[in-house]
Amino acid sequence: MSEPARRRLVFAVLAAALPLALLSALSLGSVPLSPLGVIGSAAARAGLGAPAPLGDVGEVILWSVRLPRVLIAALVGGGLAVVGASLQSLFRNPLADAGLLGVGPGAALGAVIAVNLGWAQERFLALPLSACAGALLALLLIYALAHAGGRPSLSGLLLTGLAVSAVAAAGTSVLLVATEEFRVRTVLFWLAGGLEGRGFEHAALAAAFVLPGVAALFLLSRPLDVLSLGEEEAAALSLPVHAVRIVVFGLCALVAGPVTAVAGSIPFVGLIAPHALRGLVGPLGRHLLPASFLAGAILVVVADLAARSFGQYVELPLGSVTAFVGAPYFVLALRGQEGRE
Amino acid sequence: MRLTPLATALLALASSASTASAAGGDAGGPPRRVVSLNLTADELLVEMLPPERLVGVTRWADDPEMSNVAGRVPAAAERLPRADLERLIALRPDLVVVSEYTDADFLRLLEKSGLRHHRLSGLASLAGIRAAITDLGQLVACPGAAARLVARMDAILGELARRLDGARRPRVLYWSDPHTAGADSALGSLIEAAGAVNVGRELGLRGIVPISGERAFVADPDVVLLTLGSGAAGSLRRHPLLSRTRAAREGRVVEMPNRLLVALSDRAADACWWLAARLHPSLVPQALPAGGNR
Amino acid sequence: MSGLVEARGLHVARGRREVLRGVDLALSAGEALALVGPNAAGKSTLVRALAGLLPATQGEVRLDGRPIGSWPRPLVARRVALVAADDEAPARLRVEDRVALGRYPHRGPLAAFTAEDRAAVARALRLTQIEHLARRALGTLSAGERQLALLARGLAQEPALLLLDEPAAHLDVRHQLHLFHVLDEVRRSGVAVLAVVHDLQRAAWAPRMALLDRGRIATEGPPAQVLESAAAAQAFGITIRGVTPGDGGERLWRFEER
Repeated sequence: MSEPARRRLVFAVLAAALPLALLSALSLGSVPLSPLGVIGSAAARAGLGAPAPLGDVGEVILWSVRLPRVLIAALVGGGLAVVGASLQSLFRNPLADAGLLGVGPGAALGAVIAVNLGWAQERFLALPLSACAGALLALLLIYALAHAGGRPSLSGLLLTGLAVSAVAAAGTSVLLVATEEFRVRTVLFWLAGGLEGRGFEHAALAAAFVLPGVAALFLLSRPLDVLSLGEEEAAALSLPVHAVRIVVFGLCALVAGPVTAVAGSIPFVGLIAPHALRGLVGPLGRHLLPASFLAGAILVVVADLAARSFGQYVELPLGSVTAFVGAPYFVLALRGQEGRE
Repeated sequence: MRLTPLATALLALASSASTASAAGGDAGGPPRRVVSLNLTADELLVEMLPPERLVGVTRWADDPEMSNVAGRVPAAAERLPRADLERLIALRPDLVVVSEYTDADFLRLLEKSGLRHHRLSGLASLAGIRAAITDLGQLVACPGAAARLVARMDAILGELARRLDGARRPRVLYWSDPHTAGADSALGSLIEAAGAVNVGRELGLRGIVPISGERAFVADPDVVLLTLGSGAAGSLRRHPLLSRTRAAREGRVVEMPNRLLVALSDRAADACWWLAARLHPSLVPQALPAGGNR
Repeated sequence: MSGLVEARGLHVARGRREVLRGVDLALSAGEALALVGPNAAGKSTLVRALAGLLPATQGEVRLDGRPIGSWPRPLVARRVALVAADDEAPARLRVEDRVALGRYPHRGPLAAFTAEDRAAVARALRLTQIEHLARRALGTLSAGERQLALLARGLAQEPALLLLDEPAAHLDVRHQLHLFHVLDEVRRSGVAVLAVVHDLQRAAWAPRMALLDRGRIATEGPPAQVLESAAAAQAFGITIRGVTPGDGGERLWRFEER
């Protein structure tokens, strides 16, 4: 099959799979809802058909509990996948992903502070907003430190990110040890990743950063392609290498930080989605980024469905589900790659 | 932050979903369907409510190691293995009782789903427990049952205070590798009401916080209090420092059953009595006083 | 004297070390120049300075008569294409997409590619004779084919000046000959070509040669004149003897240790 044809097929499959995944996630759960009922309920809201086809309980579950959760899952998955693909172009390494940015541990520190001081129990949205602030402060710190000695190289940026991550993680541990035992549980659940108890305000918080950030990264597709040719070639083609790097790094952090603040740490999505799709749609940003968004969204929506369906006493942490899927995928993919070489 | 048009539309749809359409019963009358999401509320509601009004309890309510009402929970009540919001909504409760440590975001989602909630708080002191029982009784329209529970607590604690009047108060350290109980904790109140001095409070600690082996050793408690069956006794014996404290060497270690140790309901009074009986065997008998039996 | 590109008294430093110590060099449209010299003479530095990628500490580089730093970067990249020996492009990238990235200076990040762009890409593929490889991923090509794809990217820029840094490295004999044919073809369309060539025999391809030694142009002129000069002998530390073969073919040179 020719490449353009294969690409069209992949996009068609992804575009069909996403609504299917969304519908499944909205229908399945501790209280099963019929998919037709879900569609009917949406139609009723739009003014068509009989109102409240799912009954009182079903309507509340669908609109107040499941819908925000599934929307967040899609935003988280899509956002992390696009961030992963962008960072892989930026660092010219297929193993780069949001973990390199240093915003995850910054968000964790913000979350632990909110729990330690009791804000998380008392004030609505205190935990995600505090985590968000932590992530953004980490980004500013990385930017300032990396530029302290003049323009940073790519490895300079990377090392500064790792250093800030390490300090934030250390700070988190120190605070955790001193935190009241019952509150520690709140943090541990958050750190493990999950969407339990997230409502529309969390979805709005995530959307406010993810949607513009991802759109901006889509617009930077061609510069990312040029950048992936290597620093010298990119500069020779008139790309402002340093500026593009900083902007891409910043946009990735602005997407990944709030995502982590709302959903906790969700590993592997930024690695699996682009890796799987690069072979199918090619490495060009204008194909890979949108395809990654769709695939990442599907992946996390399904993972969240699994997380809430397979835990008996407690929901499985979403981060663990993506890790259980991601790690074997990588082992297999690596073996396949080495077999070919 | 500015919301995209899509998000605004979704928020609008969501707010129209959040009226109390899933709640059973009308907003005005006493709650007819109550769900408890924490063990203390399980214990209190089993005592207070007529069985048909308690529709959900935690999975620990039936566990004799954890619960003081094991075996007495209405069979028809659903045991919720976890705080699953969807199953909760399906039970159509008109009151959900949650713990102090439930986070605000989850409570907001309960509200948005049209579920009324009540948070038990102030359980770190015996006075706080009494107030919480009275409030809960008012809320579920069972003031008489609540008053009976409070009267029982008062009877036990009153008798205890009388017997312990003037007694020498041993210094007790609660230890749960690596945590101890400081001031403003239920365990601290337990120790003090049982006629002892809480070493955690002496050390200036608050709440349940970690304590280093050195600090605990230097504090030299008269008695070490542990949770029975938690492995803490073994940890104490193997601990290089704590095994050498006077209390450990002379065998003055009290292992208390978990269901009493963590009791925050009216059973906290039973726990105080139990502990006092071990700390002051000559002053306090093991059997509860007459007015304290059920 | 205003040629297409000109270096005047050019000094360039890399870190603290001064690599170019006063280079004067000029090239006009359609001209070809081979740049030779021993290791660490500064050839790569000179090429990059002519591309506007390295700043001058003293002296200047002029493009179309104006200092190169005064041109906006996209304009420089539309006039000057740099083709280096090292290719770090991703293995999965297809040849035609890689060549198409050469249109970036013309189109920028967002503008859609036009028929003009597609024609430039097609021409570049045709000139380098790799049209049959257009749909292949770079990782599946041989080193020589990859180098040609890189050259095609440079040609897709439709530059007035083509700068090459050791383009024949990694190439087998057949591809080397092909490469120089392509460069001749390119020159015929009016493009100036400056190539750093390691192999001195190959370097004689261009009618003009410049010898760079220790940061300065030691001598310049027709290849025979440069290679058989005392400056060349001193720069390379060997004896170079020119020989015209009996059958009247190209002049050849013998290189002997002193």
